[in-house]
Amino acid sequence: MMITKFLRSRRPLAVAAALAVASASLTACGGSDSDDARSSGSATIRALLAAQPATLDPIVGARSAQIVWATMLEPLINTDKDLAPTDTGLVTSWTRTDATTWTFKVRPDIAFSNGEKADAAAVANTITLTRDAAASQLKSYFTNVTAIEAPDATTVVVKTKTPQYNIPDLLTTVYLVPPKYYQEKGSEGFAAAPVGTGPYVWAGANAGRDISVKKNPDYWGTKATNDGITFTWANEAAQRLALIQSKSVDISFDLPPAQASAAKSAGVDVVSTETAMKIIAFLDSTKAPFDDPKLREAAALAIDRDAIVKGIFDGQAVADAGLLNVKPGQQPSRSVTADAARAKELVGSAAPTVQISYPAAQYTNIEEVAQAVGGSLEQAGFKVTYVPLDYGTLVKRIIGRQVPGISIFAGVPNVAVPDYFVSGFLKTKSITGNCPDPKIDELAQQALEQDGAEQAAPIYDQLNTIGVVDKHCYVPLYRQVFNYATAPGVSGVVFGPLNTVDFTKTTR
Amino acid sequence: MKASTVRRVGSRLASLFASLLIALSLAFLLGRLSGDPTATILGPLAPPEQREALRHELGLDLPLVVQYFDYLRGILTGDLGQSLQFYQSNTSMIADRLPYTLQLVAAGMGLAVCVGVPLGVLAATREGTWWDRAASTVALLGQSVPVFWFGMMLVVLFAVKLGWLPAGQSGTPKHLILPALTMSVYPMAHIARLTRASMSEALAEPYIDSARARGLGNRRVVWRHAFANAMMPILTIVVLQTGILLSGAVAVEYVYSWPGLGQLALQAIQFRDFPLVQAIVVFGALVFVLLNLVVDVLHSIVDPRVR
Repeated sequence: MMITKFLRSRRPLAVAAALAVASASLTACGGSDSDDARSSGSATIRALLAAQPATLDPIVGARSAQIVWATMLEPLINTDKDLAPTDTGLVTSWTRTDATTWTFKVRPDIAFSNGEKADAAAVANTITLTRDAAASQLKSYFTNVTAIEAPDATTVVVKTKTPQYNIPDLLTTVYLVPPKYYQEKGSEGFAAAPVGTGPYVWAGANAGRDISVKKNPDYWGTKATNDGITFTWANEAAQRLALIQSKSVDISFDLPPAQASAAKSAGVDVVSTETAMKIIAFLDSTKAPFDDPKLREAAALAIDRDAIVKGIFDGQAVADAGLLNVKPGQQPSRSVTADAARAKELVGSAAPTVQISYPAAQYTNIEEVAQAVGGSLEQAGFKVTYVPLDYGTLVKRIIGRQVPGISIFAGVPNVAVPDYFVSGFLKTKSITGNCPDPKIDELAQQALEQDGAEQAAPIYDQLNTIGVVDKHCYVPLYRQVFNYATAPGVSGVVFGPLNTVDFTKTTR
Repeated sequence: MKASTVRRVGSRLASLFASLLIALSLAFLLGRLSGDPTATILGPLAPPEQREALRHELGLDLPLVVQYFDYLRGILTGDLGQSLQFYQSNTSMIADRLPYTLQLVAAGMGLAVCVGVPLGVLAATREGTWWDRAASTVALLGQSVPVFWFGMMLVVLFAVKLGWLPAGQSGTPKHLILPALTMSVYPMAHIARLTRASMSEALAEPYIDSARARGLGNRRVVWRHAFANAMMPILTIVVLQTGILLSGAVAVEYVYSWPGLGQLALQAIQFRDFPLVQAIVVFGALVFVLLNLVVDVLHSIVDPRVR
């Protein structure tokens, strides 16, 4: 009765208004521990990402989140500006005791921020987790590792089944976790409050809203010049632009070309960096039409990567002529140059049909790129059909060898070693398996057994020539350019091409 | 309670339960059609044996029927599975994000009701005048303008150009203003149009003439007599629109990076995190069924003919 009277009166309107006011008040009261970090003065850096980090557990997490966890956790081995391993990190030296044994020396007297020792046992435990954890992201890199031992507090010995020169390179993407804490908390618990040896320590998070880290006063290395970082995220690129333009954030990462240009026009500082992400067209040499080497050559000659970069990206990408040149700025010794007339001649009048599969909306302008590749092939005399797929389906079909013709997708090396792409794309038992050749397999093994990267380089160059220039199984297209913007007065952001950022010298 | 009432309640509950079961089954099936999640989780270069191990861990290698019954059992026990992307319980993630969406929906719907109802009443009581035409135009615009575009325009004007309000994200009452305003536009227009139509009908009833003849003031006639009788469809639409906003605030949350359920749903879809997508769909279905029940209860309270 009371309710009926209430509903029949004008009170519902008043209640709605009160609700709106109450909800606003709720928002005001909704802060938590990381609010303190968010507003702790001008020395806290506000960094805006394109997506919420999935998990802050480096063992199972995708490398896209390392921009956040790498503020608190450190890789076992640091890299220099050329992405080569250096002795400045937790592991200070390494020697190849014999063809299959590596000995690493760990920096003494380092501790995690929770007090646990960051010694050789911790390093061995992290490598073991990386190799054995069911959902480990890097598991497949470490299948050749047979034993990991810590004979004393500063020595770690790693044994491999067959010789492998790039073990130190692989350790540049393995982040040290505290053994006891990780075991006690498990993956989910660790990700909720990571503990590491890095220049920052966990400050708090608001679910779905932000993550904050604060300066580690006990950091073993050069301490951060700012008080901390608050990470927020915005999926929409126009929002990331608006937030930097309205000075709501200090750094806005991952601006696509259109937003980067708009930011520049509005007077915002934009930094553009060539990344290691390579977009490649894979030709399946095991099925028609590309089981015919002449048609593979025709396709490789028809595709003009320079025109794609100029026409579609307006220079916001870098034409890439090689498959195994994993470091930004590198190009192979030999490559294929577009020649439309020769391509047409090779196709002749047969008009073979080619299917182009690509992951729709997965990468910037990928639709236009697929259309450009198709257009070039049509000009050469091919008949083209387009198969846009969702990323998961495309990968599934590639693994199932169900993608005849051409598939276009990206290769992103977690570490700057050519073997990453050799194992992934070139070998007969690779993921794509589109260019089976015993000679490639033999050379791939031979390269790994060399003493070091320098000795292996000519073999990788030869492998690149076989896959790209001689057999035309791969048509490298371009490398993506990564843009980020900084608000006025913000300086000292150091961005690495493998998605790492050093914030320690950042000021605002 | 009368036997006919019991029968009616029973039949209504059965129909709601059937709708819920259909929605849950569709969510389950659609989740299984979204490609191979292991490719997304492990990346394209993971070896097949690692994929198989993960498929086993996720229970994807079990027969579909077994997966389906496990899924229903999980819903009954409040276990909506684990996110593939965030490695967290879906139930706790939804619970974390729900307060943000509730804030936004409460503010947006509060604004929509506060503006939409008076606007509709104004148009109905001044039918044919420029007030009516202006109110109808505002309502029409509100229903036609794309939410996404409207949100971006507000950001450009109030955040980028004028610098008065934050461009997005959450944290303070100021952060709520633009998203709530954006969210309120469509339901406000809907409520205004419906109120106008409903009030016009009510104002033409003989009991209104009778009330006026008894010398009652215009305000009392409009609000206590006409509005009270015109309220039923408005209440229905407010409750149902609340359900739509609760489970579909995707565009607004995306534009403003608001950390609610819509944003979570979008992230789940982008990552093909099918257990999380499924959990959000299940939650949406539960909300709808619950709100339909609320509508039924409200009807029976407000209108004795429905009892």
